Amino acid sequence: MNTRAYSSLMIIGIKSTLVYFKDFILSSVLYLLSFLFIIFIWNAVYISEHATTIGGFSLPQIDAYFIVVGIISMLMNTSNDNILEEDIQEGNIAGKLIKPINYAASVFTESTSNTLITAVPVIIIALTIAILALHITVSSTTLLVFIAELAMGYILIGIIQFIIGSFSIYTTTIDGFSSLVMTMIAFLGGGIMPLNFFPLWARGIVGALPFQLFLYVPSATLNGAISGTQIYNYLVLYVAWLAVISGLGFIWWGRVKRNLTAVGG
Amino acid sequence: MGRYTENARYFLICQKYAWKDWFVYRLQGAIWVALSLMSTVVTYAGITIIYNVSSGIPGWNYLQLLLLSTSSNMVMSLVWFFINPWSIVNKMRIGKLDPYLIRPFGKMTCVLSGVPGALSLIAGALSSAGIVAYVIFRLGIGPLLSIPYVLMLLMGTAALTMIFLAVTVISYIFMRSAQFSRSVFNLGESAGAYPIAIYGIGFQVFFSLLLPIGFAYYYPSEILFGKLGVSFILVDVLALAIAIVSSYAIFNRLIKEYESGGG
Repeated sequence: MNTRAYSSLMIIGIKSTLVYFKDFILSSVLYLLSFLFIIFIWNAVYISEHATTIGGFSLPQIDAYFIVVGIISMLMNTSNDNILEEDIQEGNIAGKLIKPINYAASVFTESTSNTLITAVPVIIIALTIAILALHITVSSTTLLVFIAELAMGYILIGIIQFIIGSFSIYTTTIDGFSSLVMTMIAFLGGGIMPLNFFPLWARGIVGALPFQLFLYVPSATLNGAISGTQIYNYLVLYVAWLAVISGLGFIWWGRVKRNLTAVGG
Repeated sequence: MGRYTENARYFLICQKYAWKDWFVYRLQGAIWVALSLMSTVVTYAGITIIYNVSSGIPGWNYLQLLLLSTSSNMVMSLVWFFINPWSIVNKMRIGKLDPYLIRPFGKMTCVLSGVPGALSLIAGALSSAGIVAYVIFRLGIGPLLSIPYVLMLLMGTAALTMIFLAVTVISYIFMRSAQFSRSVFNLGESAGAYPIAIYGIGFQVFFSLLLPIGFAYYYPSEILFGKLGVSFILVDVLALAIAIVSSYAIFNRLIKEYESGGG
């Protein structure tokens, strides 16, 4: 593997991200604030209900759930789709495909450098503050499982967004498709409410989709809202979805490359 | 009056061509329509689930909250219909806004016409409007209250569009990026779907005076349900008028800071 080339790509990605760092910090604050509003809403619901638990979640647990969801959702959005879209639109992909590096890996490296310099520091700081402020007890095993879930979720969403980005060969832009998938992740992945609140029939459907793996499972793991057996089952599910989506992605990208016509670059 | 008519005509002509362009890229358009309809479905499903598992937000029954949330979705979809912060900032970065700004119309008309928003989101606005009409019918609210309500929503749409346009220019001037503008927009979108009173007095003031989603659809909903007196309509209209005039002035002042970078 050409590690020098990938580390150079990583440095370029970091430098490009730092150009808009001020914008990122301000936007992150506003983004996290929007999750604060979800907490306000659920607090109002719990107070009105005079209930100690709803759907198996107590009020402190729901607060912790949404804080963690808000923080980790920053990680669950790579820029793979935008990079691929831009490369296809501007014809840069032709030049990149003939370089002695794997194109898909170079896209991942570029977007990961963006995540490393922006989302990861914010996530570490915000999570530490949240764990301390909310007195969440986290064992080292839980923390390791949580990190593993985040890592697998990140790779999974990265592959999905790469596949979405490749659609720009047929549709020119993929903003709508990308936003549609992100909306589905937010709603069906537990970003608006924990999946325990869904009716039973809906939970069956959601359980068959990968969206729950991005927000609900890591947050519920950290908050102790799911048991050890369930966590184990979810880990198996992560591996299974990773195998399925990577396999599909590999076949799909092979087809897309054959249909590619680039002008420019 | 003639100036306003000319501006409106220019805007409508540009809209006609934007729609022609939409049909050229109809596959993308269809995906955006799906996204737009999905936002209405998510709003509806979210409120329904909240009221299935609990008694909901204190002081608001299911239909009332459904109306507030879908009104919010309707207004925000319409705002997105008119303005696309990403495209505006991208055009400003490479100097491609110049050809629009030199046309003999108002600067705001030039920007809104030359850089159209996400036209497909009209689907979300229309589907939300359908739910709003259904709820008004179910609650038996007469035209005496529902007509001013719709007018206040439309005025709110105009105010928010102009505010987001001003925020987009601010975002460009200070950060050369549209992310901040979009984040402000998303903040209003996520907070405005629920009664802003539950966020505490500080945020209520923020959402009334700085980002007036309160006047755009929250207070109008309260008037509709009799939580605020009918006389508050005047206050609401006045506040929205001030928001429109001030954001227009801010936009016109800030757009002068734009320096061409090519074109």
